[in-house]
Amino acid sequence: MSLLATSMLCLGLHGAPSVPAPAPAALVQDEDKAFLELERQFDDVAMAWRKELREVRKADDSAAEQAVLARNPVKDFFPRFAALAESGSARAAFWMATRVEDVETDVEKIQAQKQSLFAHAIRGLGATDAAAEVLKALKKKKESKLLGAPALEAFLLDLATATKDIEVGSGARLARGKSLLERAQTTEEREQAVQALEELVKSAPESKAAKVVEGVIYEYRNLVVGCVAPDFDTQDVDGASFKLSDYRGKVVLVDFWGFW
Amino acid sequence: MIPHERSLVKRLAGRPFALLGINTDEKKEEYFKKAKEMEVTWRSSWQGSTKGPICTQYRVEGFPTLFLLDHKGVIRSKWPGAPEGSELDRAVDALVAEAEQAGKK
Repeated sequence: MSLLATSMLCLGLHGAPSVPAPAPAALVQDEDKAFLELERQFDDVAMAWRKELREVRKADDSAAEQAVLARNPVKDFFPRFAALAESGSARAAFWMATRVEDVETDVEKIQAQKQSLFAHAIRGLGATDAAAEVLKALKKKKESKLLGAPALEAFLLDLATATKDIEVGSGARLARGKSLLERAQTTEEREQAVQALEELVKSAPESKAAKVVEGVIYEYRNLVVGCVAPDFDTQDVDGASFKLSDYRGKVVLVDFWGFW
Repeated sequence: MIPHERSLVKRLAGRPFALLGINTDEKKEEYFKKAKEMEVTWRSSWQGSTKGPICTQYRVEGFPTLFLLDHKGVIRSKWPGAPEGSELDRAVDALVAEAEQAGKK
């Protein structure tokens, strides 16, 4: 069954032209129900587990803490969510995508599994209200590290393309542009990243992301290594005016500081 | 940071180098008093707040933050947070040598 159809039906959205024939409604509902029921079970167990963990940590008993940590409920539940994901549940895939590191230790395996699960999640949830949740998860620092920046950027673009929510779309484009900018090595790569950000401002000028982008671009054009430092005109403690540009010809160390 | 900066200024006296302080203390009198006590001899602008105009212009949100500019005014290094003294010295010395080379030509 189509994942996209599944999630769109869950929200009662019909008629998008590219969506294949919808699955029988009863089946979709069953699947949704199955996910919510499993999630509820997990949340109960996880809450009790976290409480236990807090208590052993408070008691400062490291052997007991290790024992509790080894019983992380994600491990037990992972195969059950996996079964749901396999039968097509994008929500289950999303649940797994953010927790692979709890059940797997090999960095490459974590990356491969995460990539495939996020791909599934975005295919199924990108056009639904859950897109905001997916974006929130992708913006976490750990995901950039575990997925790898290029994969993360590709997912952010997929999400931006799939969603109908302007804030989610522009937020995803902003996160992608920032990631591109952060890992750009050459002037050309930096320019490409800035262009991607500038396009965001043009396409969604009223979005929150567009306002952030203006700051990011200003910083890139003026304040990174290689830029001519912006001039300022100020007074010293004796009241004498001076400008940064008065110091051309000298090496200048500008120190922003305070005694506080 | 201040003792190291003081020695940096002393060591490079007479060479093409300047240290400019952008101070963000809120109380002017206290800043003046402490600056005297700690022998802050270099030129400083008192901003009165960590959100002062030059802090905003330079998007500085953490303190200290240092920008090292070459003799053409180009940003060559940036430290959000105090750098190691030896790292700072190396970076400054390299640029001062570059400035002196350029001056000779």
